[in-house]
Amino acid sequence: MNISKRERLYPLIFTLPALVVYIMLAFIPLIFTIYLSITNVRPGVGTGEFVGAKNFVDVLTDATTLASLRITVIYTAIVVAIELVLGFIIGALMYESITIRKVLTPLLVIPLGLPPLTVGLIWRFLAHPDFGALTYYLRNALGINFNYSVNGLQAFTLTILMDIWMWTSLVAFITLGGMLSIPPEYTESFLVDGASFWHRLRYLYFRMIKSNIIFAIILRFMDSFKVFDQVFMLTQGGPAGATYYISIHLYRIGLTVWDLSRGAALSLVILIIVIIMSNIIIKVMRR
Amino acid sequence: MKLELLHVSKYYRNIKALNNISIEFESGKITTIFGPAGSGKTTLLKIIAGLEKPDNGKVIFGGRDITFLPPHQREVAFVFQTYGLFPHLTVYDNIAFPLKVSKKYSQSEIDRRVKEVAEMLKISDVLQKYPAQLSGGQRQRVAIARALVKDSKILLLDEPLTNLDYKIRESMRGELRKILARSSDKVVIYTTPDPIEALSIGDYVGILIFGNLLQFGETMSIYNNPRNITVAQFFSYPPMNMFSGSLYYENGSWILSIPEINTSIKLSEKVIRLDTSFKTKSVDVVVGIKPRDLTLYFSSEEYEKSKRNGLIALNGIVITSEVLGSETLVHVRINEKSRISILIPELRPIELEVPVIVAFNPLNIYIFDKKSGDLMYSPYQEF
Amino acid sequence: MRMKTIINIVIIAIIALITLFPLYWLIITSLKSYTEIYANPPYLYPPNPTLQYYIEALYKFYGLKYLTNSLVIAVTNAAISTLASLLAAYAVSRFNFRGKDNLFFTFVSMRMAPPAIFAVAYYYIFCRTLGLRDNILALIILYNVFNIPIAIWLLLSALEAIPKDLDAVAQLEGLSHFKILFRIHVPIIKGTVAVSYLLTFLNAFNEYLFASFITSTEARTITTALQGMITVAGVYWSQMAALGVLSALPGIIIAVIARRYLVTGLTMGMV
Repeated sequence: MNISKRERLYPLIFTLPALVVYIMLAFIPLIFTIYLSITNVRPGVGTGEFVGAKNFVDVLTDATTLASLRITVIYTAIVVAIELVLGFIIGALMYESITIRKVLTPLLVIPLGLPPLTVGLIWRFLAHPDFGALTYYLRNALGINFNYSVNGLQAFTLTILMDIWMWTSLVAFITLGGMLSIPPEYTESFLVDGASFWHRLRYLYFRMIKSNIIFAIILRFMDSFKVFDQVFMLTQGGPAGATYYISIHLYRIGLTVWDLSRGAALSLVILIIVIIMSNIIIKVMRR
Repeated sequence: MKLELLHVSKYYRNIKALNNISIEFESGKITTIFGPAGSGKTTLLKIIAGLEKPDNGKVIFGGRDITFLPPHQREVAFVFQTYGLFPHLTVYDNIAFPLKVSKKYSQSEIDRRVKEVAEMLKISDVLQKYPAQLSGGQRQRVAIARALVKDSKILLLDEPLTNLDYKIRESMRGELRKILARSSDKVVIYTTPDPIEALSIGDYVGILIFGNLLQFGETMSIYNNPRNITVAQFFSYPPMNMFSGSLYYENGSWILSIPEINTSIKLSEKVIRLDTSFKTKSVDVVVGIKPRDLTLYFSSEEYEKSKRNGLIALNGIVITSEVLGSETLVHVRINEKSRISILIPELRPIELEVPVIVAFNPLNIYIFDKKSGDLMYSPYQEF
Repeated sequence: MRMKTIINIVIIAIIALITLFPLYWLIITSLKSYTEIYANPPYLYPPNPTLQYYIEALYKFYGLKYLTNSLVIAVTNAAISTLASLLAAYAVSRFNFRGKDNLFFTFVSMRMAPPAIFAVAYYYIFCRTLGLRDNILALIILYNVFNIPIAIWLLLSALEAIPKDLDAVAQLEGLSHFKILFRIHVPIIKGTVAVSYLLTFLNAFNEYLFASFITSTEARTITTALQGMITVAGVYWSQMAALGVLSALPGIIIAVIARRYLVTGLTMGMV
């Protein structure tokens, strides 16, 4: 029986490094954040005492927070919807033509591999009020008075365009993956019947890869709701709060003003929103 | 050297994989462990190899208790059912693996042994290839080569032929017999779910059915005298025909009544030897007849011509027939409830729905006690 | 030429153009001088391409130092993450484990959380307690939290695909678990190990948020430096673009190399 005791140690030894990381860097910080959220830690004013749900209430009734949430939700909804449709179409195009697939795949992975911050930088250059190529085109070819650093709506639209540029290919790949596992007989019978591309999209692909689509929606929703790096680099949340998404708001509260307790509360609120919304999306889509 | 398992049991969650197995193996003999899938054959081999530990019982080899000894100290070689070849190594490196790991052999010694074993298994020409490039039969030879390349005292083969194509299986059976004959210094244990394989390869067979060792002894002897109904059902090919009936003694004769096939057999006690304790009352029995022991006639004239005295004849209608190797198995309906199967030693297309006569020698039957399942009478009377 | 081919080419051209133009714009900006950048109408190609801004970005603006920091952090952290995940994945795959399903649940919930949940705690742990403020070691340790889910996921599915019989063959000859993992499994899955390393490397290299508030001058990463340059900028567009291109290079290369696994990585939490 000596051997089994030693054998029982093995799983522990193997998982030890990962486990240590997790306890130290995920579990404990989480507890700490929860602790912060129910106490009163603020530079100068705060006493560190237990305040219950006060921070949550403060955060959720604060006008800035609510405005930020509102604009984030709108952003997320638009971005996910457009990326889903576009990505789905591109995915289908790649599925149906191997040439398209082979040529586009290495190109479409590029936006996915870039640091989000650099993506913000790219679009900052592209839409720069003074020398951006996009700026020039919008002003001269479309006659729009384009200056996103003063026009909130333009800034908002720009962040949406940026997000679409960056993430549509992910949706395309996810849907492509789903389509590749459709038994070829289904696709072939549709092609033989001479159905049009849109017909195929709606009746074949959409039906067969529903779970992939749900997955793509959830994934994009989770990430776009928490968008930060690229927007921060592009607009810093301005002008006048037009792109002041919730993660930027959190950054401001937690790391600039150092209102740690409120920041902790807000971050937990964001987590809860994401969890709830994901569950709702799954339930709605499964019907 | 003797390998013994004493009261070995093994549980997986709540299922008893092996139930109180006690069995003995001798070096120089090939013992087959026979049983359907899920009987515990692989578990048994793994316990012998040391890859698993029994929950109860002991494993003794050459007088030493090796129950908890780690595998590499047991001098055991294993051929896995799925071959277990390393995909990233060449055939040569796969075979050399046990030798390289043990660090006891020089490079030239390893080279010599690998080439020798490859020659014996006729895979010398693929030594530099990778397993993915080989056929199923070749992979299996590599697996066997790897097991033979090192000095071992116990050689375990887990259903080595099961994953092969039917045709290759037959030729491999013969080759395997020759190869195993060379390992006369080892304890060789071979598992299979195929009765024919057991008959052609093993000197001894252990019948392992769902964790229980039902019978153990010389292969032919068990085939001829299955100890009970379960063993008879599993360890026969094609499966034995079985019918319920009753047996009683009357005025110097045994009367065997088998309503399922509309037959009553009367045999004088001088002709058939049964235990006298059965004389006092009637016993419920199960009668077994091997498909090989039946003869098929397609008309009464045919039957009358070849008929010998004492045969029992049944009338029936052909339901269907199937080809088994170079023989034909014919299924015949005797009445509403019963069918019987006959093995014809030739390939012959059989017309369906034709009336036939099935005949057998009444002494060529097996009688089992219905309640206990135990064998009461067999044509071989050696038990 | 058939209609279908023409349509295909048009589709490819449109999508390729949209995808690559922004990046192209950044690249040519890095090769233009200040006046060329401000030209009206803007040049769609660099009229006098020069690498001088790259040199300036690297040396005058300390870009080399920041780039080195980013690289060192990413290289080291990827190694640690991949190794730790390899061991853990082996354990999950080969040992009977209470809590295997908990693993997936934990990773998914972490994935849903805003990174800021950890931010303050990390500040306290690394800057206050361990005194690692502005030290690359902090990031090297910290990034494991984000990289381990990715690596474990990839390595676990690769390990599960190795038949357990191979383990038995090795155990029969007396190989220990460590030896089995490193002598037998790793050579079989070395492609996946490499991809795990690449993806975790990229994830660490591309990160901004935590790098920004833990580092300040000595340990500054290239992403932090870029953000910092924006506030100062004004006249240094070319150099900034150069630095931006450099920051994009690992991403472009790795994304193309590991493209089959990119979706998996992004699913498990890559940025």
